[in-house]
Amino acid sequence: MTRDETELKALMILAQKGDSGAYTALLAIVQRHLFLFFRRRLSGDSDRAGDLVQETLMAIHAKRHTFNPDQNFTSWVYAIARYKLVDAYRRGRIRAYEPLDDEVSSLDGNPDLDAALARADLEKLMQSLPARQRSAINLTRVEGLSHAEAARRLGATESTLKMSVHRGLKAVRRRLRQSEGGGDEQAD
Amino acid sequence: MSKLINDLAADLTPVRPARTVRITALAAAIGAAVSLGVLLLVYGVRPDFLSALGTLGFWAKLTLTLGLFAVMLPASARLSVPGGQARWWGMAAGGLVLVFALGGVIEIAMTAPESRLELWLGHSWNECPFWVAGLSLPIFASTMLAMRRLAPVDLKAAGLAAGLMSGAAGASVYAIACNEYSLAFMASWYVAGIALSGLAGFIAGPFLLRW
Repeated sequence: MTRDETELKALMILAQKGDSGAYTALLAIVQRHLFLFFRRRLSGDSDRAGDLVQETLMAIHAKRHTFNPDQNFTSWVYAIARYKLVDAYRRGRIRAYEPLDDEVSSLDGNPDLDAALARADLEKLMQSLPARQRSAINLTRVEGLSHAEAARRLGATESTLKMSVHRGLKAVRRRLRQSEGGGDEQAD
Repeated sequence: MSKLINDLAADLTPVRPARTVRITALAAAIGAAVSLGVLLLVYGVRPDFLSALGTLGFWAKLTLTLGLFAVMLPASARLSVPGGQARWWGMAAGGLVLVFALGGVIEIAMTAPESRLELWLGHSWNECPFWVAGLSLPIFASTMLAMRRLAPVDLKAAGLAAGLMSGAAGASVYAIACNEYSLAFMASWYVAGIALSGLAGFIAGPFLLRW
């Protein structure tokens, strides 16, 4: 699969064998991905996202024997993260979370994109987008507003806003893909 | 937060990746031994057990129940860990039931109209599903204990799969005592018992499997 998945899985296999150096490196990377994952679904609430990251890291630790090297590490981690999110919701510790609608979630189900987004020189990419898409993404993904709030801020309807976010992210992804061919440096 | 990572790393001990199918099978076997004991004590073996070994009905019944067990076992194992999917196994189980149901329909069509009801209901239709579901309980219990040591994330699906698997195992145990022989009977009443157990698992899963 992608470089990230291969790397992370290799670290996990070492961690299962008791290599604490590999484990520390793995958790540090996973922690960053998880934070973005949770914050986006909690409308930008960084505190709660931080709590959930902690819980998920502890769950990964307690259940590390349930990862099978034949399976995809990324989907293993995100399955735990999703479980922790739903569980927090069920216990009433968070009031609501945004499952993100289908169109966006097709991008969203791709954790590699999260990693790529975190890595890449976002500013530069964002500048190349039309102003409308840029501010839509900024408000929803960077500032972490809900779709409704962001739409109000921009004086647009919610569906137009979602469309802008979707188109913008799609463009970003396309450009990332193009640049991925060149260099995928900046190791974690 | 990096303190947490350091703590976790300090606590790291080597682990062996869980062999989920083996664990689930072992749990089911332990539960099935209990069920078998209960059956022998309470119900006994059918009096014609040895001659039944030569009948098609007996083996057809075991094909259905053990077949369902064989597909629901990997399904349960997969659903006990994060990222596992079991859609295909579920469909295989549905396919097997469909084949038996089809066989039952053909069988009924080939039977004289006045004997059809008897073929379908046998003499124990109203107790068979409850025996099956009852005998599945010890198996379900031991499977739940095993699953809790793993990490199911879709608790309803995991409970359902474990319930169906236990139901199929309970039905296999009950088959030793039951002398019904028609496909129509199996496809209805055995399957009803297994479905009952599956439903119980679906409902109980979120309570029993939470971690």
